[in-house]
Amino acid sequence: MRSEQEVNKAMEQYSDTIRRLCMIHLKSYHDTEDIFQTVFLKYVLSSVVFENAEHEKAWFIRVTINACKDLLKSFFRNHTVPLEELLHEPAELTSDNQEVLEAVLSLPNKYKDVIHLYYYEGYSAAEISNILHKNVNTIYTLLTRAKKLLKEKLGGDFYE
Amino acid sequence: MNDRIKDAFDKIHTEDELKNHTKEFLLKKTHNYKKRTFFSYKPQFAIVCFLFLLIGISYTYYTPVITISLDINPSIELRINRLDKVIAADAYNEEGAVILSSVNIYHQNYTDALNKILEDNYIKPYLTKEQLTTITVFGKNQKKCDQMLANVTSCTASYQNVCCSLGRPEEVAKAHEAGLSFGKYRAFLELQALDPEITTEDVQGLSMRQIRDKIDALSSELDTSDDNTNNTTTKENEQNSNYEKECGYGNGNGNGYGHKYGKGNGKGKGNGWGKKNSQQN
Repeated sequence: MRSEQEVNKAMEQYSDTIRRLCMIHLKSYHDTEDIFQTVFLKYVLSSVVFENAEHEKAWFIRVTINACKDLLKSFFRNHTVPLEELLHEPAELTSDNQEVLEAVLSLPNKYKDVIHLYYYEGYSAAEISNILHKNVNTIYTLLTRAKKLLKEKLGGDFYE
Repeated sequence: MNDRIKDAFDKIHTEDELKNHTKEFLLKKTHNYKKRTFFSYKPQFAIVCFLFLLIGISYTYYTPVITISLDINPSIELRINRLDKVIAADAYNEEGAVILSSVNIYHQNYTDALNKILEDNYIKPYLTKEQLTTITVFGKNQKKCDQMLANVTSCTASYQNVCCSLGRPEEVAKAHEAGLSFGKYRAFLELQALDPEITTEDVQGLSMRQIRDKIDALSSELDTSDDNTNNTTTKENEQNSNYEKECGYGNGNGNGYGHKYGKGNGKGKGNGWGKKNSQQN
């Protein structure tokens, strides 16, 4: 079992990453709290020895995405919710931020993760394929289609 | 687009409330991050030990080790545990059932239980000179059986016509199959040895005295000049004719399943009766 110090340190390092993933996948703040607790409890009880910080972060991303999918499997959800419902405290979002986030959240689930991991977390397609356990060619295909959808919603140019 | 996505997601941070709730949750779930050692399971371990102890004690207490078969006409068997307590009793006829329903003998020492039965008003008429009471002790532990037989003999010394002896546990199953208590079944075997046509149904309603009388009658009819030297019953009948046909109790040791606890070291089948003048205190 990991110590309280280790957990607190991990929470400072990775809580925002987990928070964003929860926002992408989940429909309510309550669900986010559930997933947060689930992910960190798994971390406490896990005996995985991390090679480095990147290894540890990838572990958190994978566990969070899987936990979100498990939660969503348990009941039928097919509607999007306003951004305000997903954030407990109002974030300092500009209208452009809001537009972008809503556009990303409105994407089909299979595209949300690749967009977030590629454009925000800065992972390569190969790294994303490892995290999501998908073929790297599949990741490229998903990225291409996601970008096309976002372009339709948001307009503008994509810069790699 | 790249910068727009980055800029938008950059604004998303974990609420302090969420962090605090999660920390509290983890403290509770991990019992303040205490590693569970063997000793942290003390209450559960204690409960498990207690349950095992309870099961062990119950098993020891409720496992019968010796059976005492009491036959007059009422036929009952008392099952005794390691602590010499009566834990179960079975009646093998109506009279036996009546006795068991009127005396409370459970969880009492077997000598007390026997005395209670023999003092019961229902059974007193059976404890007469004309009747015969046989008490048979049997079990796997020979030493225990010997000790109990001595105690039973001692505690029934004041009653008339009481024969106490050891029995063979391997015959118990056959006795119960036939619907007879062990003491009565042994008497039946003796009678059947003399008259093979006798069945268990024939003896079921008979008292021990009646069975004994039949044995006695058949024994005396046998020709003493019978060449069948392997017929030990015949041999012993010769000896028996010199004896009072009345049950006494001696102070000797008998091996084998003679129904007598009398003088002599007989081995093998014996249906002999003890000498009346062996009755001693």
